[in-house]
Amino acid sequence: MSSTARAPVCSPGAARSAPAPPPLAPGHDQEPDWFELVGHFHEGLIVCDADGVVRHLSPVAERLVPEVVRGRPLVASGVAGLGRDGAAQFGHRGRRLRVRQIALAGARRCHYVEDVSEIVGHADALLAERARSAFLTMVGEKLGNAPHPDRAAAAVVRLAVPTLAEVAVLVLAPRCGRARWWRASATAGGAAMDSGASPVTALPPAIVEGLSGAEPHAAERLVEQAVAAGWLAQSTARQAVVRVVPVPGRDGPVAVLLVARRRTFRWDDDVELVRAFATRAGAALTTAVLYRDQAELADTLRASLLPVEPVAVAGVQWGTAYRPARASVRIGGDFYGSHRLPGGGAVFFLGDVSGKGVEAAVFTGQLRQCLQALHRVEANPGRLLALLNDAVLETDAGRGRFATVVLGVVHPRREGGLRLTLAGGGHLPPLVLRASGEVEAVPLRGMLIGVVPDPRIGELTVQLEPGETCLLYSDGVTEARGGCRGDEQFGQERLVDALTGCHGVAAPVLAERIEQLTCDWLAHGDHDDIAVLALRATGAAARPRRHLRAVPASGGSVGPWGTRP
Amino acid sequence: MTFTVTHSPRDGGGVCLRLAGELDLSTSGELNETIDRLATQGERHLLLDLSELTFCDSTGIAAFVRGDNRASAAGGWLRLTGASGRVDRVLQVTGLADVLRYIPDTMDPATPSRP
Repeated sequence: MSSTARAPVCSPGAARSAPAPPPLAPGHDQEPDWFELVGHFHEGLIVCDADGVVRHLSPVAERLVPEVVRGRPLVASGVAGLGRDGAAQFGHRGRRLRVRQIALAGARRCHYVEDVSEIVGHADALLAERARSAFLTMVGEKLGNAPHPDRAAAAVVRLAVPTLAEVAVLVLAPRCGRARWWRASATAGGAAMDSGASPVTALPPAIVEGLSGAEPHAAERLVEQAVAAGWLAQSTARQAVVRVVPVPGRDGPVAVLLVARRRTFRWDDDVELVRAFATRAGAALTTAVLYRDQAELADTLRASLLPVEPVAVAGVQWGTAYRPARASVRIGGDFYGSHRLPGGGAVFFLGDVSGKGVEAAVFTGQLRQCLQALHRVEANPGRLLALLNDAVLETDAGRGRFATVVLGVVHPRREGGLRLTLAGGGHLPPLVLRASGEVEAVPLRGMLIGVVPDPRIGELTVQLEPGETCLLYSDGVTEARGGCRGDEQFGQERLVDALTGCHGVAAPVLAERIEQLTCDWLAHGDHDDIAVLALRATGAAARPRRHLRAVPASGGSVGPWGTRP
Repeated sequence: MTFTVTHSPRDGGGVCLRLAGELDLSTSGELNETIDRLATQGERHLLLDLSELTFCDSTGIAAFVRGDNRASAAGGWLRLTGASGRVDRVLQVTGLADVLRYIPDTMDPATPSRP
């Protein structure tokens, strides 16, 4: 453009007066040919006189609006956008034109016409792309936190309407021969949601195909199938277009997404968006399924590792307390339990295994299962512990795991009270709360379970009069560190002192009280697993016996131990 | 709350480990490491002198059992001596006092007499 403007300046006349390169400003006598210049503008020019007759027409304008003819009124061209009230932008011959009108001297007017098809196209594409990414980002965010597949599936169809479809159906990969589905349908106010389940055999063929990872294409058949499945109303079917895309998971599709929309919907443009949406839905569903599977697994395992409350036995009131060191996993290395014996009475036990946390908890589960099986063949406490020792040595070869256990058999006595036969496997000896208020340590000895073959196992008998209690506890109680210095052990002496005079307390209250004493001593410090198992001989004239769960001590008026049952 | 373990060769073979302080969850790892290191160096006979040890919990017990298992697997042994007070009580309660008792007169204490 600039070279065109400079050309006339280099005329022989100008060169004569100034041999140096010509100045930028053109001389008055060298007025450029303006119409030649505008021929190179992007805009086309149409100049009309006061009567609206076209007087000048630039080549660009001729090309953009060939209907306009020099010497004829502009309105005769029939191009609406060029009228006096024409739009600033209008479509013409497949192009997007922008026009601006400028008033010139002598009531003449000039129309500047520009082809903006490309610019508008870019802007549209940019806006569309921005809207798509915004939509997909929003989808990713909303789906990201669904912890359960059901909620993730519902969220997927809800998000698909109305951006992707008027009706969206998500069919989850079948479990146990049944496939569950969720549907969202556009309504005036938003979307209606419903869900259902279908046997695998009754699923539409396109869904089955989608579940195998393929994307079904026969559009007409898809509408039929959606209607047959009850997902699409017959009345809207004629105008509907249906698309089915697999929702990718870790190993093949985790679900299939069906979207239905009116025919005016441009599939070619948006099918990529549907696929991108399905990818995000797949990621969310896969995570949710994985999370659910792991949560189910963890719950099942945890439930099998938690101590089971003791069985009801005539004449026995049980009390228990259990506080794992790692509260977050809710399981630990202490265990207790009881089983009814075929000949009457029951076997009971409390123990502690080497190691900490989940690994220790798994070991306690194995010991409890061993005892569950072994008590059916051996009712003598010492021989039962010896069998347990053999079982641990055999299954634990070389891993060096072991347990400390107190195991006993309880029988109600004819004259009232209980007879306990106790066997020691390297565990802290039980305490007995006598009717006199005194606390006795049972001189029970014995060796760790699972360390040596044929271990020395101590055995002795304890008689409990009605109202007397035998207390089994783990070293998490006596080795709790705290107190004034913060590192002092609670110790057996303090425990005995605290229990002296507490012979009247119900077993559940006693167990809970010991847990409370320990935790108070800890003053929120770290602690080992804590387990307590208390057996109280109920009185001969006691009310109907039942196993009481630990209940919180009542207010101060009844003393620190709560009420007697 | 401190725990130290030092070791020196014994007359007639083997190593003596002197444990001092408190052996619990926070310090038993140190004992395990020392035992592992000695085992790697080929030491099969470990005598643990507990006379300066003031406390031992179940993780300490586990360290003794683990060490003895490891030494036994190599044809050796781990034995305890000098325990008193609370430490001796823990060894009595768990029965380890009998299993891992060091009997100087016995040439090979790997198979101590048991009742």
